[in-house]
Amino acid sequence: MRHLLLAVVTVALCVPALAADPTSEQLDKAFKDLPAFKIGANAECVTTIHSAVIQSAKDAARRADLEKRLIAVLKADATDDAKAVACRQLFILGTEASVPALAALLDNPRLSHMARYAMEKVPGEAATQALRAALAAAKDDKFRIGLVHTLGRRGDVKSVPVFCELAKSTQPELAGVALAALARLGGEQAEQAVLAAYPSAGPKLKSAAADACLTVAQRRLASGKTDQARGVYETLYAASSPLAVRIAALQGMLAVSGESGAAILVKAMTDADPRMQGGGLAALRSSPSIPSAALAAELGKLPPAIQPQVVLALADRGQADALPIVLNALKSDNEAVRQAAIEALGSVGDAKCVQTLAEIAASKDKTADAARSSLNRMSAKGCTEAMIDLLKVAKPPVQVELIAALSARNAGEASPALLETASGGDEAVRRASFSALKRLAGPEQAPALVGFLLKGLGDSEAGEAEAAALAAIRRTSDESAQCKPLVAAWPRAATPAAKRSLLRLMTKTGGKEALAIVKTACDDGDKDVKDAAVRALIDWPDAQPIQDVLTLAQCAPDETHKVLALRGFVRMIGISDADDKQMIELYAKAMALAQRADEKKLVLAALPDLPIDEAKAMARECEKDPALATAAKVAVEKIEKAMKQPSRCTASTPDNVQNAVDGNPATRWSTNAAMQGGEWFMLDLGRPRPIKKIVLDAKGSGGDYPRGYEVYVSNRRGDMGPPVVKGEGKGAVTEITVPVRTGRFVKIVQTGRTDGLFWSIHELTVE
Amino acid sequence: MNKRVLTRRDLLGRSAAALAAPYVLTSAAIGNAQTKAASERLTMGFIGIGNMGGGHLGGLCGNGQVQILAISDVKRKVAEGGKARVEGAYAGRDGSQYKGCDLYNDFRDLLARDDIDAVLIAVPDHWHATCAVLAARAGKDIYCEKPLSLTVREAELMVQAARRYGRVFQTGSQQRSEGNFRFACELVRNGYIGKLERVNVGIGAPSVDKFLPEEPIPEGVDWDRWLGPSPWHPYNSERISGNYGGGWRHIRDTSGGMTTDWGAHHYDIAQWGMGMDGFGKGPGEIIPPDGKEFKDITFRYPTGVVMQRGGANGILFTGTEGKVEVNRGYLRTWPDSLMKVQIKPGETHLYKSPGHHQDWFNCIRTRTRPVADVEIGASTITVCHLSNIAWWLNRALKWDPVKREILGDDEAARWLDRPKREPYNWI
Repeated sequence: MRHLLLAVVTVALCVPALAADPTSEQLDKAFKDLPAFKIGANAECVTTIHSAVIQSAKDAARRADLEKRLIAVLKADATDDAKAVACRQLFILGTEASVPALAALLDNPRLSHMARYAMEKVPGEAATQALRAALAAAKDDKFRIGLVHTLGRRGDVKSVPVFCELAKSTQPELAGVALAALARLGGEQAEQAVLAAYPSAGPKLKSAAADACLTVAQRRLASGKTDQARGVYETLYAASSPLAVRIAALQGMLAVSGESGAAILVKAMTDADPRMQGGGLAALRSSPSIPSAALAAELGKLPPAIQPQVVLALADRGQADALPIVLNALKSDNEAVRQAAIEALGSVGDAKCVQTLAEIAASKDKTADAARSSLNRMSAKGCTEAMIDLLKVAKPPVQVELIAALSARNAGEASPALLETASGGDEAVRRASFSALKRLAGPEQAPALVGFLLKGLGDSEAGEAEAAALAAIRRTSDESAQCKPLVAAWPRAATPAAKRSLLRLMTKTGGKEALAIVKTACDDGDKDVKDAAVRALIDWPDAQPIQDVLTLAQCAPDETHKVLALRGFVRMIGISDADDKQMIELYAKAMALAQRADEKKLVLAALPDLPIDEAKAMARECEKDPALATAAKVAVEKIEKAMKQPSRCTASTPDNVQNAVDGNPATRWSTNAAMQGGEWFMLDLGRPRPIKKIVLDAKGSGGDYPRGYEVYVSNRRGDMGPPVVKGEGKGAVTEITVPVRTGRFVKIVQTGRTDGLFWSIHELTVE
Repeated sequence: MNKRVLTRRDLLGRSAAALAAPYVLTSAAIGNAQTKAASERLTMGFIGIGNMGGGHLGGLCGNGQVQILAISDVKRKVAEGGKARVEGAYAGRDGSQYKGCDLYNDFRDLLARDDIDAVLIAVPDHWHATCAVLAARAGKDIYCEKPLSLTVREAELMVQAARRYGRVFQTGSQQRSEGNFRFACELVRNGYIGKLERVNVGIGAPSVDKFLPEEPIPEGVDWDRWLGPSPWHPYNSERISGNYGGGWRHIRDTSGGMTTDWGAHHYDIAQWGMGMDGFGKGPGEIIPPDGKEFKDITFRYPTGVVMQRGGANGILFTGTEGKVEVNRGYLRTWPDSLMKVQIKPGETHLYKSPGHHQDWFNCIRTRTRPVADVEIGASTITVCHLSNIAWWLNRALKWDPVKREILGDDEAARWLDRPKREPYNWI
């Protein structure tokens, strides 16, 4: 209750920005209440007046009336708090008409700031005159500080003589604000006062005085008065100045010195104080007029610690002469300089630098990592091509580095060259090539990569070649064609090892022709080939060979194959097109075939994907077997839960997805954001089912139907394939006819756009 | 004032070990959180150690690259708590050499110390500009919490001061140092979602005026100095509170509300992804909600991109060929395959920061601009302030990002700066 009360009180004390436009009665009351307003009391009158001020922006007459009323508050016997509020509103809309009333408050200890708050923004000479007059009459330095600041902001050049006097004040804050104002205003008298103040300024004024001088110098430089600017910078740069001022002045010195600034910069970077050295480094980066060559020539004279940073700074300037300097720095005796140069080549190096970097990367030098990084980053035109060209002639250690760089650079165009190096005489190069090709090779390299598998590589190298071949094969967009390189290579597979490699890959790609080969190979005379074929059959990616696998589970002479086949059979049941009746029969067969608890548990684990009574009964039956009791109980629980939730849903907006399938039209799932295209809703039907029609019901939310849609059906969640149907929604109920498809996952993607309406689904049905 | 006990730190390293400072700075080169020799530590002062400042203090107390020498806070108890924390952390590390952390009510006294290299500013927003500009003039490198400033013109003064005095200035918009934000922006900048059309940003509301009742000033609180350049109000515990649900962050005299508090993070990322960060770039039109065409505050950029508040978990970039949505600990793309993209060498690579504090330390050593350089912070906060001005005045604004002026609306332009309360007219 206390918190609620506090919230109410707090709201009453706040002034929200967009309250409704008050009526004239409300406004009259507000102005009647305002003079007595005290902070902490109900602020409704303040809110009302503020709203009127905001809403009156386009009504000049209303504005004038509001201003008149606010002025009246300033003149009335009102509280200070009320007058402060009036000043706030005059900040927004005050004109010259407000000046007299505001001016009267400029020496009021409680209200001087708020009066100035409003008056600083009032255009015209009247406000400036009033401020000037107030300054002349001010009896307290505190008021003078504020008034000088405001007059400076208003650009009042007539105040310059007064400011010149105030700049001599012994009160450093007053002197400081006066100097700042003089520097801002400019002109001969003002600038002379600023420059005169600096040398004798005490510690508490020095910083402000220096800053004012820098403003003067900057203006002179901008207006082409270089020599006059130089004079100021030289004063500030003198050794007697505080370090921070000298560092600031250094930039100015370089700006006025042109090419001869190099000597100044070198001196700064050799200063005894490392902070000045750092100042020089920063100035180097921001001074394009200093020729890089002049700095580079002096590099050896600089403190060793700063030399690497200078090399990097020169590279960073992006000037045309950076590369020769960096290349020269590569020859330095200073290891840190060489390292910096190698790093810099990552940004300024060109194709001609590739060989140098690759050779350094291949060396055992401490800078090898830096070279690798630069090879990966180089972006100048021709760098990748240079790496590919160099591959053909470089020594093996260098080739390995080039290959790694090409891989890191995602240089798919290097694939043909990498196929060459994968055939070379050096094992490290071959391995590096396969590793890179795994990342880079496209479908066009797949036949060549498969060809490697026929060559009788060593086991681990064969493994890398297989991985590369598979990666290339998988980049073929047409899934049904992925097995083609393997099928084409099969007749040339002369050794068992080659055949085994191909079989291992065929089980990854699937495909009708590959399946035929695998089936035949199950009777191969070589036992290792036979074993590979059987395993490939069992691991087949779809349920095409389910009968063959069942036969193996029933009759395979090898016990291991029998067990593996049974496992494969159970897996294939789950991804088959069988209907519920057929599936339960198949699971029953599997259960009957299972000799060991492990395989029976596999069947139990699969049953929840078939949430029907018969599956539940099968699981219950297994509860009688002590070895299966726990697994069976878990299966029963999962089946019962799945039976209550026929569909598992996910969506681009994950909240409340089940509302779309809960059978309750009053609840809904929604994107909670305007349709922009790309929003989606996905159903997991638990197992593949034929889909003929989808209905999206948004009746409870009127216009929240999909403006466009694409429907995807697949057995694989992560690979939905192309859309099976596209269309546009026209009203609250969208009926989508699907060309008959079987799939476990159904995804609907919303493709249209609205300015504000969400996409909502109150009920989704799939037939 | 206590003299510094530890020997002067060499900014660029005098020992051979410190020479190796390559451009791509690894923790081995710069030094990680393991303790460095005293002479190599960056000496720091803290200005303001409330919620955020206290958090930074706690983190940096254990960082062996820095030595915290002083704290300035106008709440004595808070300052003393900070001092105890620092001394507790260091006494074990430095043993008998450690003399203590000094306290200052007036941060200018802290800035006057020649032995302090850098300051971390975590005072309320209305003090940011003054502290930062004076710190730059004093030759200190600066880490300033976001939102950068209270007004547009203050932000400009901060940039000017940092450049004039050659200071390394990191804005506390630490999302720029988080990889998922950078990656999301790289996807956008390299066209992986096609042509960018729309950006949605999920942040809260602007601040309001509040007139809170007077309460007794607690002992040890310098209330006048806490108010500083902002308009006078009587002391109130809610006003001085740094709580995110209330307090000074929601009051117009001291902050821009959640528009600036979160806009400093999310509008920052939005503009980074758009390539619209930095001076000379920005929206051309800012339109408050009108209950009709514009459901929420809307920004139109000269490139044709429209940014709008709302409709995103963090920031949502929508292009002609895809989308990417990003927030802290969250990244999602449409299509999913964009999550696996690797940005190539010839494509746009955005600044990869090793961590927001570490980036600042690295840049102090190399004298380069950090990932959230003051100009970036200023261009971000400008968008936030313009949003608030349009909202408060309930009308659309036209903004020239090159001239940095509101066009054709002198009354709105008044809000670009606010007169400071005397005698705190130090900048």
